[in-house]
Amino acid sequence: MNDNTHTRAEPSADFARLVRHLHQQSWELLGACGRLMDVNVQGDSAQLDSAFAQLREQAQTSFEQAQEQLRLLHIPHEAILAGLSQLNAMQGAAKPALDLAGSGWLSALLPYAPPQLGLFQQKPARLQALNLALTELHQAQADYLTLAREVVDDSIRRFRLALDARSAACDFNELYELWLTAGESAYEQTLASEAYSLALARLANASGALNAQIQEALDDTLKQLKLPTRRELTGTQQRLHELSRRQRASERAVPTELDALKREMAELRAQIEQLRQPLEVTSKSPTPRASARSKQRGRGNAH
Amino acid sequence: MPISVDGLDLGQELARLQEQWQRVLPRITERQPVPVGTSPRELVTRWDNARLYHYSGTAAEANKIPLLVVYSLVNRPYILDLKPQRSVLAALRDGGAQTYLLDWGYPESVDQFLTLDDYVAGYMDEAVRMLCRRHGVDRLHLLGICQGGTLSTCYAALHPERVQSLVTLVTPIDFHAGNSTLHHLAKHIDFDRLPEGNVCADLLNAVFVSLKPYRLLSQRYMDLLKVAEDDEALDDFLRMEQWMYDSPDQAGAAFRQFGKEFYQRNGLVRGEVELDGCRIDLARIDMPVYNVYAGADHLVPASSAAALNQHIRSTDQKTLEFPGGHLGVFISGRAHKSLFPSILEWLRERDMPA
Repeated sequence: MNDNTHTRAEPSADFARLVRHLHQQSWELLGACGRLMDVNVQGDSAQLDSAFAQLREQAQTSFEQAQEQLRLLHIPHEAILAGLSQLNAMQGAAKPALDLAGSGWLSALLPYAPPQLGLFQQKPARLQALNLALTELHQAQADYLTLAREVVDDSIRRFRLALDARSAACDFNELYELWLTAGESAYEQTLASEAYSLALARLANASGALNAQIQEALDDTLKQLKLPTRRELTGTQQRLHELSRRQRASERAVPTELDALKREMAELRAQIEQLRQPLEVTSKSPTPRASARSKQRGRGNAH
Repeated sequence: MPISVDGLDLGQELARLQEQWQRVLPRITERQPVPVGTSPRELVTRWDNARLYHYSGTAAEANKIPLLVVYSLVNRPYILDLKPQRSVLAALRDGGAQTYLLDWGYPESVDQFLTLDDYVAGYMDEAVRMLCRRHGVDRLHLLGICQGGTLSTCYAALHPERVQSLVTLVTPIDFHAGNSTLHHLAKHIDFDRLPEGNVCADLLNAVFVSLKPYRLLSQRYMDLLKVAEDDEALDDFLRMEQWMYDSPDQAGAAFRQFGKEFYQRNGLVRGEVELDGCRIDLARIDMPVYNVYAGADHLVPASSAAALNQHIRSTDQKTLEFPGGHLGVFISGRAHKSLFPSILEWLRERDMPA
């Protein structure tokens, strides 16, 4: 039975409901695939086109729902930003109202950095940096999701073309291979694009930047509570690492220096041995110097 | 033309698949854990998390000069000893090589500041010196695989006087060659903005899976259903499955350094990489080199690996383009039949202490 209506689960910022929603969307997508198979069995090309159109629409709906979920997760931070805006207004700053709609609001935020005065002067600036980082991450996620959506759309289109190109009936395994090939070719084309490289990098960079902001805020709070912070742990680890390197360098240098000292000792011993030998050999006959001294004494005595 | 599904509808096909999975899943639970890395070995020594293992053999005649095997940092080296019949380490040992493996271990939080200097000029150098003392030689054979080959190449350039010969398998050298997907994905990433600390293994696994998601997340498991009734084939699948996702975290500093200096700047072939205060000059490599790469490698394009031979000064060079993909070079049946005997013979011919 073909059903043109698509149930639409209410979006929610609750993670558990998000998972249930995604699960429901997956089954609805599978249902659209099933309807596609029904049409295949019936063999009506127009109905096949209609079924594919429904499948694509269902996929698009799933992505829109996912993007809506992401937007809702952003709501607490919009509230914080609105609060910051009111704070500035209370301080008498003559700034335009914070416009959260549209993409221009991000740059409009920049003048809202409050003047850094007083005991907690850095706190508002840090909070704002945190929120800007979060906003950037949400935008990066949305951009990435848009690309993913295009891949799915393109893979459905390629699957449709592959089905048309077949000259004989195929079984389930062959159908699966066609789907796999269509999906993979669509994905690899996007993967190789500059747009994907930029979107992935934006996502990675935004995640890293947000992580750094969160960590800094967390460390500040822990420090206030006199609890160990990540900064302290990292600092200790870094010193340990440097000590470890210095020790390795010393251990490597010691054998070399020891070897050099041993060689020097061996040379000195050899020289001493050499010096001793003439004294021992001529111990029965006076040495030239001893003879000279005794002659000198003899002369002196004579005087 | 309408496509028939042989009278079966999708619902029935899915029900059939479900039944198959219901039979296969308990079998998987029964077979796991499947033993890996079972070749006998002794722990020679350790430095922090890195361990040096000796695979002692009973070959009638062993090479005079020891062989040190160095694997990549991003995966566990027991891929080289997955099962007795397909063990690279056992094959080398049984072929007469006095085989040692430098196992990097699992980096911990305290290792986040380890750089490639520590890995190459630190742990690798310690291992090389120890083995030379242990065997009373001045040099040893070095066999590096994938990123382990890159590290081995750097070591050979730093200390050519300590390397008797260098064998590299599927080793990236020119990181911008051959439309490298990993270079493409890494080029716009700001590695300095990555979260502090080690790079989570799950993240790296996700990146590798994302290169072939349809094959690795769907087809692989559909193929599993075809082999699930065969104990040996199922065990092979489970061994590989374990290895694929048993990845260590990456020491943060080393990861950032590798990403920036190798993947982004392609510093190795440009002579811009510095380790331990010394510039890595590939032209200092003058010892015999055997360079093997895969013809259909989606991780290390053939041209990326083949670039090694254009930059070294060795007069005794051998290259081999091996058919198949990245892992095939060291785990395929063909590799065990032809490639490793070839490597062993090549090492034997160059096993002459100075």
